[in-house]
Amino acid sequence: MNRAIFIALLSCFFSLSAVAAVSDQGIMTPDFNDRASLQRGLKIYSNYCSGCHQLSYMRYKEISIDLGIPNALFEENLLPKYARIGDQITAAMTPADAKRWFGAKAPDLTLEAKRRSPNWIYHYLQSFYQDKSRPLGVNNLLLKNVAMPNVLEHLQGQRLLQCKQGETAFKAGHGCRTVAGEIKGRISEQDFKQIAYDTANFLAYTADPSRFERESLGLKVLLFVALFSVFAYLLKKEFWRDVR
Amino acid sequence: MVFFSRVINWLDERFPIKAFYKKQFSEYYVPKNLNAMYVFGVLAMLLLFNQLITGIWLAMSYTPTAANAFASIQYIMRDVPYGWLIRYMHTTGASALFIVLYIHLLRGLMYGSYQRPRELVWLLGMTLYFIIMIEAFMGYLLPWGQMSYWGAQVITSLFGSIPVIGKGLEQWVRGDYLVSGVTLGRFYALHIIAFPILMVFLVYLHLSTLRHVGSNNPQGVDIKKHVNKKGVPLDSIPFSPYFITKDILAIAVFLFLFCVVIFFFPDGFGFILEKSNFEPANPLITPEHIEAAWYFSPFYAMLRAITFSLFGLDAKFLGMVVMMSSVLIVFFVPWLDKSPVRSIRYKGYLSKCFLGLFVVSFLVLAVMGSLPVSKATTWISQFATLGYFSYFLLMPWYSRFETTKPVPERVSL
Repeated sequence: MNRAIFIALLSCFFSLSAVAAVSDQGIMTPDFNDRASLQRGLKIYSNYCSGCHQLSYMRYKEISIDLGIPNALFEENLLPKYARIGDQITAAMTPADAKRWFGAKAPDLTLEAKRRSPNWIYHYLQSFYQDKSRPLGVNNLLLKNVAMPNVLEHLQGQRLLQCKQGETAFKAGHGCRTVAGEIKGRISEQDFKQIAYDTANFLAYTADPSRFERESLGLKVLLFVALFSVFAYLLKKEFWRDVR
Repeated sequence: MVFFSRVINWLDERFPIKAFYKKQFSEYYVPKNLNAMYVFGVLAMLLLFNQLITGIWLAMSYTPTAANAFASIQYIMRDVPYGWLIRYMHTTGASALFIVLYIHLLRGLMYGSYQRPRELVWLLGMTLYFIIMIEAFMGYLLPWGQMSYWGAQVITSLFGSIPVIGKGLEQWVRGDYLVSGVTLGRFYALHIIAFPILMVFLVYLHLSTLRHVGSNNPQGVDIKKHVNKKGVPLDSIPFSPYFITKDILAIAVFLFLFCVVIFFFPDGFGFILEKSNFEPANPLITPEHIEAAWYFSPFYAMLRAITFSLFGLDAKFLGMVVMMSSVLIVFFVPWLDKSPVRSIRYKGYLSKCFLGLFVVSFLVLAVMGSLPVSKATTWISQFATLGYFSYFLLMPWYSRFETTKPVPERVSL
């Protein structure tokens, strides 16, 4: 019985990992085994996010170990001048500056993928559009009156809001989406989707770094408990044979 | 072996361990027809032990201050070796404990385990359950996330709805005008010292009263009526080795399921660790939708179901009274049940229907308590609250006047 459950569970995991990272409905599933994607995600975080957003519960060292980046290489290329490899990841912008410049603190991103979801981040990065009424000239379909500038705009290109007749954004069940504007981005739409995916995947990792260790240990523990259950069952059966 | 028996004898001359083992294990006689519903007591004990041990290790690295509590949890999850395992065991353990306790309680209601002579076992067990609820509520504040904070804010504000003394009481409980670092400090102290001591003491009382009167069984047959010359019930088998081996098997199967959650679904799809609790507590931003932990959801739904004032009393106060009564009324079941038989198997049609109604109401309330408030959820919650209470309040009538089936003299396997 237990064994059957275990086997069913195992096959479930394998089939899950075989599913494409982004489904037809556009729902992304993080893939921690895709190390290249996680490393690209780190690159995007370092280049575009880390100026304002901290990953304060994460240490540089842990990332270098988990993502398979040699320590020396990491220190030389990825570590900010002010930080040491064992430090927690802080941003250059202070909260006070953030308040002054953007009117809001830039949230810590360590747990963002748990607080919302990796899928939310994936779509959020693609949902910016031009909005003249906003101080930064952009708005976001997933986060009304967003205080963040569209830092990836030069890659994605300008996006415009397109709504069905009579509809406006941010109403429940609104029929709005964003479409390509006149200024084209530096990379193709497909490549940009990959960038959004890698970032979401990387943040899913920072929210749950124990997952590498957890799942491999978990399989061993389950195997042991399943085996133990078999012996416990045989023991019980042996003792209860004479009970009528 | 010789050395071992000498140690045992040395000990036994000074402390009666042999007599203890005989009385509690090898010559403690248990009905032989106990089914799978009877393993949840030992599972609850296992989980309490798990909470105690993992709790001690969590306390080593946790910081009970408003400024550092949230970060210290992340420190445990990331920097403490196997900290994630210890914490997931604690969080999953809390949820598992409530699942196990709800089945344990249902077993008692189904087989009439609260009836004479087991009233005290029931009362002590219910007291223990009540204390575990408070323990869980206080523990929930400690991660200092948004939902921790606002859950504690809402529930402690209930004290404020009590007429006349309310406002003072609310402040006294919080130690501040609102939930703050002071509240966190006292909840921490109570959570890790005061209530665990109480719980261990009550487990001892619950078990020793049970061992004194003996276990009921699925048929509700009194096995002490038919005994052999030595006074041993004919339909019984000794606790050791029979129930020891059965409990070990139950523990193994349970551990398998428990580990699947710990290692592969530690968030429990947002039921064990809620999304909004991944954001540090912010007293200035009230979340749109404050929900209780899933195991309190049925009671929370009853609290919200009372939307009207009555006799000049505030709806919030009435809601709290209803919520408190929903737990307290369970204490009185031994005296509400007037049935001549114990087990649901021999009770009449009405008892079965009302037990069914009770279970359905409880589950419906659990769902309603986890949804955002709307007209529909309020209506459904109100009906389910009626269903919940009617099981208890009408019990003296339906259990007395229904026709029951005859209870067999001896148990059957």
